Amino acid sequence: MEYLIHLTILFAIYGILGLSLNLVVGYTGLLSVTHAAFYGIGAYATAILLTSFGVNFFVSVLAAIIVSAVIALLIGLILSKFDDDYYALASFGFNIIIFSVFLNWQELTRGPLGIPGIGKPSFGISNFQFLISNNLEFLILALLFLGLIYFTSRFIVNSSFGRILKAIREDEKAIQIFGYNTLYYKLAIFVISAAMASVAGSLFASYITFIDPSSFWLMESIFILAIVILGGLSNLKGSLLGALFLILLPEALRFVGMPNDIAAQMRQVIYGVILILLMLYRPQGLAGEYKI
Amino acid sequence: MTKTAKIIIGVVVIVLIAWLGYFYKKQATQMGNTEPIKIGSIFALTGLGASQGEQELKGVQLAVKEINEAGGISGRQIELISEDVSLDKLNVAGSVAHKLVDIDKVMAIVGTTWDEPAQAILPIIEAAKVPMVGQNQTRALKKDNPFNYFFSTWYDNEVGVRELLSYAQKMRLKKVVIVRPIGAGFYQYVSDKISSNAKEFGVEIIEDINLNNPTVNDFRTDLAKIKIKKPDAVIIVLNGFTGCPFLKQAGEIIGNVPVLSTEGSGDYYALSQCSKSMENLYFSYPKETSEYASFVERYDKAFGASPSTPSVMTAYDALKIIAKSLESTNGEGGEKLQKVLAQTKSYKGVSLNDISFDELGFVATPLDAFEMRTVKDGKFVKIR
Amino acid sequence: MDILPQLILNSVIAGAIYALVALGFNLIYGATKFFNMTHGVIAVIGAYAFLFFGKTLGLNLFLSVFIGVATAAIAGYGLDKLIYLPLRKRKASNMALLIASLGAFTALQAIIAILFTSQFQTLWRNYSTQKIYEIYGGVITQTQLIILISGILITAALVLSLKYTLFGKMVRAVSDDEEAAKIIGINTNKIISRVFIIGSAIAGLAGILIGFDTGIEPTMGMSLLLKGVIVSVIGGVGNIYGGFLGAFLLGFAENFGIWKISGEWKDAIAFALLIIFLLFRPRGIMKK
Repeated sequence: MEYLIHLTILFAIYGILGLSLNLVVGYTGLLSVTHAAFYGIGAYATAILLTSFGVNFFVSVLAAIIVSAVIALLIGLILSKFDDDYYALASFGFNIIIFSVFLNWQELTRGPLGIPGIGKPSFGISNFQFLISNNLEFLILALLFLGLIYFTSRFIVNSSFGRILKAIREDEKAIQIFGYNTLYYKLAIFVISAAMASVAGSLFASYITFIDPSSFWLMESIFILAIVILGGLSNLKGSLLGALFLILLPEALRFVGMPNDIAAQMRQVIYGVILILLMLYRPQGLAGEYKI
Repeated sequence: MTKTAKIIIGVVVIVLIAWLGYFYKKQATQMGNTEPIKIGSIFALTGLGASQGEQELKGVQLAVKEINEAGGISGRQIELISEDVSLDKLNVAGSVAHKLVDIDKVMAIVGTTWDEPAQAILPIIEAAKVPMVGQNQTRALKKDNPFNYFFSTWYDNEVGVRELLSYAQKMRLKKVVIVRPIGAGFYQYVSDKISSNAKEFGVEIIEDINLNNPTVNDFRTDLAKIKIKKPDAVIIVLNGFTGCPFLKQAGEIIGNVPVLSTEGSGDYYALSQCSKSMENLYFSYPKETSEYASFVERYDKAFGASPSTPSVMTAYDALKIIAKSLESTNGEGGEKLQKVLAQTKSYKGVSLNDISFDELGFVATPLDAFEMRTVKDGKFVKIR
Repeated sequence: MDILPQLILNSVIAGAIYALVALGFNLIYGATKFFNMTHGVIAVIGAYAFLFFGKTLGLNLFLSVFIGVATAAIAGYGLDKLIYLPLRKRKASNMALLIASLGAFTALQAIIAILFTSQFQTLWRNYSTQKIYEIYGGVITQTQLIILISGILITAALVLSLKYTLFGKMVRAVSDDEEAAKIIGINTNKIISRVFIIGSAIAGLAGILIGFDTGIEPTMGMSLLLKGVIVSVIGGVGNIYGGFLGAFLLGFAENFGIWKISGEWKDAIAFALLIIFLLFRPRGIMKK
């Protein structure tokens, strides 16, 4: 049972990451490969505030959102100068730069030693204190956040703001002619997406109780991108499916019997082959309809 | 919507098939009326840390094989369930721990490769009351929380560091440069220990070079920086991975300046790859125990090689200690097993002649447990 | 300044290595326009093929190098034929190609680990009995010189053939605009296939040389790939000569960065350089 609860919490966290990235990549057409950076900023903000300053978890989530948003604004501004191919490459650059900060700014982050002993969320009004003390309660919290972000995303996507994002994706020049300041829209969605990723990071930090820089390197951004693409671009339910699939797949493989010596590598091979096959037979993703 | 429904059904089907396959296999492997005792192992078998984890797994496998051939634990065979977690996958560490503990219901676990995954797993095993014995963790693990269910057969790194520094003192290597490679907690921890202990041995650290880049194997410019400082020695925490490139480049650029390191650098695999470059390396290594020679013979018979790194031996001992404790509890795990493990005293191990866990569950490391070694003619030799 | 000659040499050596890796990547990226995550692992395949034939089996050095390069070329060709081509035919997006290449990278890396273990291995039979040359107080090994010379020769060969041969012209046409190239009758898939073979062969050679210089292990592909990417962008995607110069620029920036700032920021410096380049010189350092 605990195993399933654990997997569902991971699903919630990666679901948030997938949804938020989809807003930028799927709906607005900006190929951002730096999501792990914001995920990491959220995680570190919560970790530092909780362990060194005893700040309440929910307050730390807000603080993390602010930090992420500010950094996203800066990065987004620079990224907006690039188009298509170069956008992706420049975004990786930012991921690696931010990772280097997590690794090397040791006074703040303890570098490779990581930050252990991160507490669980709690909240209280005067005498009433509620501390999340077991995984099931954490799961409920995580699912609540997931729900919040899902409905926010849905709202954005179905609104007129969302329509403009899709228009930017289709043909940015055309919509600029109509007088829309596309820079504003692109920045706004990038910042919103970063803020959401930061929430996922805060959840991650508190759940695992330990973080270190290695969880936020480029490969994590690529993994989140894989969730979005596998699930289906510009399909919110797709991102949830993608997260579910990419979390369950390695677990399912754990149960397939293989000779002990090479079992771990064989699982990687099968995992890789499944990704290839999925793209070959369903390049638009599990639930997708849109192809860039 | 039907398309999505199809996909959801597809996913559920995959999961169901996997589960059914697993349970069927579980039924099939239960022999007669003696259920096997399940022990889990968590090492890095792919990705970051795999070169080490692969070896550690072998140590455990040998231990399991020997115990099973001798009749098992109280007549029950050990079933080793080996899982893979690389250094950078904290969420997978959690999944794997939960799987071993909740689904496989292992009695104990040996693992992990280095600190990071262990950090993520400690709360899980503590809550589930499943003891875990680590084979290669630093003392930083119990910084804030005692985690009673975690034990470790790995030496106190500080002892090895002090041995190294006392060698430096003896050889009058006063001015040294310390290089911190690879961004993993273990290396940072040991490097910190070197820095903090140096003064006591009259060693002055004239430059502290921090590479911290997880994939570096081009040390040339840093070596050039070291060269102009003209140090008496360079201290760097190497492992089987970074050892050869660093020593080779050091030989080219800084010539005969001695390179001092800790046990990770005394890697037999690296020896087979670049022994000539290692002649300038002086490292502290755990002394050979009385059991070591026989162990190497058995290991060679099983795997056709020498155990490459000390964590192979500590992993072997970890499993053997768990097995011995399980004998005492008659196969019962949980709190009972934890109590027996905590009282491990004077166990004759391959890694240490006398393995005793202290109050924190770490192995008490005698101050003279290490010795200095170097390489001559393609072999490791003790420095007298 | 004592350190300067060595610093310059280090930069040149690093640059040469990056150039070799980037050459193949640049060529392939120019023609296919998708970010091929398998490029790094193909270099690794070349190196391991050499390990098997040259070191384990002990075959002749040049024969083994040839086999290594050929294996890498075949691997690249295979990936294109089996995965990328069908995806292109299905008009799949570049993202689908990226994920497919991610899957291929994961699988191939794991297969190498199964066949050769994850241990770090060297390609020389006698690791440190190489010739070392001293230039003004700086040190460079024989292998590093070979890397440098190979880099220069291969770049020259590529630049010349792209400019003057029919094949080269067709490759440039496909790189500029695949649709237009199809319209004028070029069999773009065949050209792309050849590009994969050449690009992968170069990567294989790069892998072998790096293996000689430092050593190999299955996960080294990723960092090679990243450097190849940075260099391609700095040099101008598809621009071979630019890529060559960009590699050296990166080598210098990194090594001088390590000297002046610190080794810990090496990666950050490399990528910051990339971003600055993209901002001010999106077409790369050479005007096309």
